[in-house]
Amino acid sequence: MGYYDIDDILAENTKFACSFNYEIPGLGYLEGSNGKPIHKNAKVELPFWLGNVLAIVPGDHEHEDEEPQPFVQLLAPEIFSNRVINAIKANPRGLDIHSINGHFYALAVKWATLFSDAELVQVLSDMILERAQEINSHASSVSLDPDLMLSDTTARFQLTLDEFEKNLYRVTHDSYKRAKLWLTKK
Amino acid sequence: MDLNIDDILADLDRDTTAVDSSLYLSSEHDTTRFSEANGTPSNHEKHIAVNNITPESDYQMLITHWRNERMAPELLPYPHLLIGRLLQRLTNQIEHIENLSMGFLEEAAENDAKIPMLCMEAELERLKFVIRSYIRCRLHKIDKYSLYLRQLDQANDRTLSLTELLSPQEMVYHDKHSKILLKLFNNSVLRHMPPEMQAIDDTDGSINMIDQPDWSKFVFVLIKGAEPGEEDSEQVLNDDGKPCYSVTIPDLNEEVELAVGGIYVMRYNVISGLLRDGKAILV
Repeated sequence: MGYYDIDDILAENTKFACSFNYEIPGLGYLEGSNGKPIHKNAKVELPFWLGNVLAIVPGDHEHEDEEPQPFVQLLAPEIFSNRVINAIKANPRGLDIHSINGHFYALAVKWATLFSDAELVQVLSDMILERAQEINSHASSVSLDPDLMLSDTTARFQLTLDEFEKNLYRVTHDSYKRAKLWLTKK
Repeated sequence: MDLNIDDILADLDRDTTAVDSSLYLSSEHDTTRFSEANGTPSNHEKHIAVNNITPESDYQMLITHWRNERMAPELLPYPHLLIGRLLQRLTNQIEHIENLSMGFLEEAAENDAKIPMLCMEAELERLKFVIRSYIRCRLHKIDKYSLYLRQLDQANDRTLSLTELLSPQEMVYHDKHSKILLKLFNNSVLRHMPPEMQAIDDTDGSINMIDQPDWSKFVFVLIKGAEPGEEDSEQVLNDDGKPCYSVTIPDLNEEVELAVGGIYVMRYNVISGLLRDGKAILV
């Protein structure tokens, strides 16, 4: 995940629900009302690149004795809710994670780094192992006949992949295809 | 009672067939030893320059360097002497072929076959292809890590200077290319930015702008072992029935034994030491 990585930039653009811990003047445009202050406990959808920083940087001391709170509190997002986690645990192969989020893994990595969430990591690494087998079996069925379209199951499976898996699929499929071409033709 | 006389026989062998065996052996010796020498320069290299270096061994070395460079995530040190020798041979061979073909023009009627000429030309093309591919692969990495290389150059605690890492031509390329790129960025975007955001190598922001090589990339590695015949001098040799090296994976704190002759999928930072010593090659 480098600085110039376009997928990373797109992934960080995903909106996350946050609630503000302070009343801040002038930031009303985040809520859609220009020129007004943003209120305490207001719920706003912020892109991850903004929410991430604001959730770390602490604001002013409101009370002397307390630890300074960060500007915003990241609320548990829908894509890592119990419902999704349970669905992953139940059947990772049949899951349509593209409909959950196009950049599911990238976001999960960022989320887990931010909160050191070991359980989420465990679930996801099991999931990726399961799904990788599926990806491999779909990618290895190569037909050299250009007229022959993809089989229906493969086409349907491809629609459920997230960006990272699509890339994996593409690379795997390409290398299988080239190997086959090289073996059969000159 | 059995008398083991293998070592006496070996001694005799060495004397009688001095010519072939030394040719064969030395070529293998050079391959392994040279990859070390290229990493740690000068005093090693002089010592080896006395040993006979054959074109075959050099070619083998080049192939090893080429493969490692293609698979490794980082930019490996440039084998100055090896490439120097190869380029020298390349020019010599081109001249040789030209001279021969001139000879053909003058006295074409002799019973000389065309096949040696064809072989020589094809061989030349093969060598040239490998060198080209090698250099291009390096240039690609220089593009990718140009900011990182620059940072290496400025840091003082580095172990490897940029002149050992890059060839002179690559230095020029790196310098000019990053200048041109910087100029483009400056003119098109950066000068419209506030001054504190104009740096392209900012490491304090929310994201590090300097792309480092992915040190923990997984690579396929073949454990080649020490130079043949000198197993005993191997320091990390750990006898478990078979000779092997033991390395530690820092993240998991797990020790792994790599048997000689085995192929493993390993993190690059785990085996980079073995790779530099020429005891392992990437496949």
